[in-house]
Amino acid sequence: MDQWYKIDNAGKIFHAVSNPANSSVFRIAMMMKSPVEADKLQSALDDVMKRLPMFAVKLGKGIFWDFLVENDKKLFVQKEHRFPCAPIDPIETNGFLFRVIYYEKRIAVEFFHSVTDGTGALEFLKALVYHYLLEQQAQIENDGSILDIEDQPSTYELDDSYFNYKSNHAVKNAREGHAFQIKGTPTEETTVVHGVMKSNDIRTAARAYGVSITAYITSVLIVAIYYEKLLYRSRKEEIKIAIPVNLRKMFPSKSLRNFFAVVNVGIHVEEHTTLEDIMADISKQLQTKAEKEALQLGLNHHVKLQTMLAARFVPNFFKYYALRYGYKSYGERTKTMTLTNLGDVHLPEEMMPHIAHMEMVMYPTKKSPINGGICSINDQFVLSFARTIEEAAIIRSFFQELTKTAGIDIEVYANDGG
Amino acid sequence: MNCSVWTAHQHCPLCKRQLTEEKASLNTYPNYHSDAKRRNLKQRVFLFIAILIMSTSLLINLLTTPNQLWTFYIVGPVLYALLSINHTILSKAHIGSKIIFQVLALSAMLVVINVTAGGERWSVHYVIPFLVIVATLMVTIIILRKPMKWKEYLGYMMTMIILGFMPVLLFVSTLSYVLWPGAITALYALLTFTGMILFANKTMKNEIVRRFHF
Repeated sequence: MDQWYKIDNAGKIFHAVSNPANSSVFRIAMMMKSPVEADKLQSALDDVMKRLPMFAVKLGKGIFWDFLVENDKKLFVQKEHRFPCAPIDPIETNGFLFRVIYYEKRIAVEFFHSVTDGTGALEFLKALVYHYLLEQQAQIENDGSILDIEDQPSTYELDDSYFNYKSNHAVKNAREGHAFQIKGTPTEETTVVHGVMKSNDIRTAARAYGVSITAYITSVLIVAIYYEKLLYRSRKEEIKIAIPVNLRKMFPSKSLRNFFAVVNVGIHVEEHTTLEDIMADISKQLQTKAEKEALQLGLNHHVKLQTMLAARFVPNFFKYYALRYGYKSYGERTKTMTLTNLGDVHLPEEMMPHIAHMEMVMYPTKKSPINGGICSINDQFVLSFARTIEEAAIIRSFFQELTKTAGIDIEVYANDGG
Repeated sequence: MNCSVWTAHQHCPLCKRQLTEEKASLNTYPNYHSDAKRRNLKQRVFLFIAILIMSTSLLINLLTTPNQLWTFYIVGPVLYALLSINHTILSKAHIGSKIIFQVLALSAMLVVINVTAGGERWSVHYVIPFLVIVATLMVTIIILRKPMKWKEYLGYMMTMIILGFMPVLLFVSTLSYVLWPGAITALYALLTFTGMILFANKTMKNEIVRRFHF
């Protein structure tokens, strides 16, 4: 009961800025082919928790920084009863900073971002579903793509890789211009719309333009935002999409804690700008901004801010106030929307027939009231939009643009479709 | 299909148009219900009652005896009751924070009543030091009775120890001119702190390290 962890570099920001309108809670879910059995899911959760102690934590209050401390209570699976990405109430979760939810055929994990990022949460969900299927007597051979719960937890998994990979090189200048911000009629609950399509269709469409799937989707999204919000506006601000990048791909790390960076790609769209122009520009920006050298500068910048001697001895209360101000001014205002792509998920072959598709839901915030998440598995590509405004025009326009320009068949479902 | 996508919902999730007469059998999400809203309603009802009582008493006071502001005898306790209901009773806050909140709220209410009544400064001389001692003792008893939970209470205990020196500060700043209750409170805080250090084991030192890490 004495194990404790410092909150990692990115986690400190999420902890400081979270509030009811910005939960900092994201969801990753697997839609199974048959209804979920709660008792078996609970048994699987009990097993997996023993292997992943870095997730079995609660929040501890410190003077200069808060911290994560081992939580020896039991985490219970919950039948879904609240909207996706709702703030985590530690009283409801026995102190844990994430929840495991089931509803009909869905198994979902919702993590407070201070604990881990999408990659860490995905590893957890994969192990959970694997052990759930074993509880159902499924015959599955672990091909190495699932964490083995018989293994001892590795110290590499606990690594604060931001610190590990900081270098003495220059830091990136954090100043960045403001982006166009979506406004609408606020709602109290988060509405999600999922669009399901064939991965192969999307891949073919992106290939036709010679760009990556992320660049393709981002560009179509920019077009949708432009048509719905800026076409008949005299002041055409830059539309910027924030794209989280998994740093483990550039810096070898086994960490299950946060280790990602965010790159903002954007463009000033004019009446004469074509989709091809946008794709070429966005693709180029993605390539240069997601290069290792560029990411290293950003990483150094964030670690430097945290380790500044002057900041270290400022009590939490003031520090969080400053972090909130910085987040609003330099983080939130420099992007129109966040689009996170978890990529194509690999699982042991025998697991695939049990899984229909996956969902990645990225929590919206006050200044970024629509956010997108992408996840694909089994040739099922799912793009999920979460929003806290009533208006769905951008989302509708986005899906229409996809079907119009690439002829992709899309099926949508939502939590407010009736 | 107006939105050029396919959906099994009764209403299109993108444009809200009704697509079919039949209720869709799609069951991907539950209907949401929120306990927070109910709790929120209770809190608003109490707030409204408090405003009603305070404004009525203020009006009666001003209309009948404007030279004597007896309304503060009502405003103080009503505000205290409102905060107690919303924080101490209805909120799920930690018991340690509820104790500290009670010390501060009770002290404030008694100071208001004392100032309204005039005369001897009994609230700052005797009541506040006594309240701090009782609250520190309460946290100590909780920790002794539930030693497994002492880590949860460490922050509140430290706050109480700091509050223990407040009555002496009131004396130094001449707001209070009776020394002995403040001195006893400070001594009690000092003894509690010394006890914590002397009986601290490795886990407590570890706890202090993590709480003060920078």
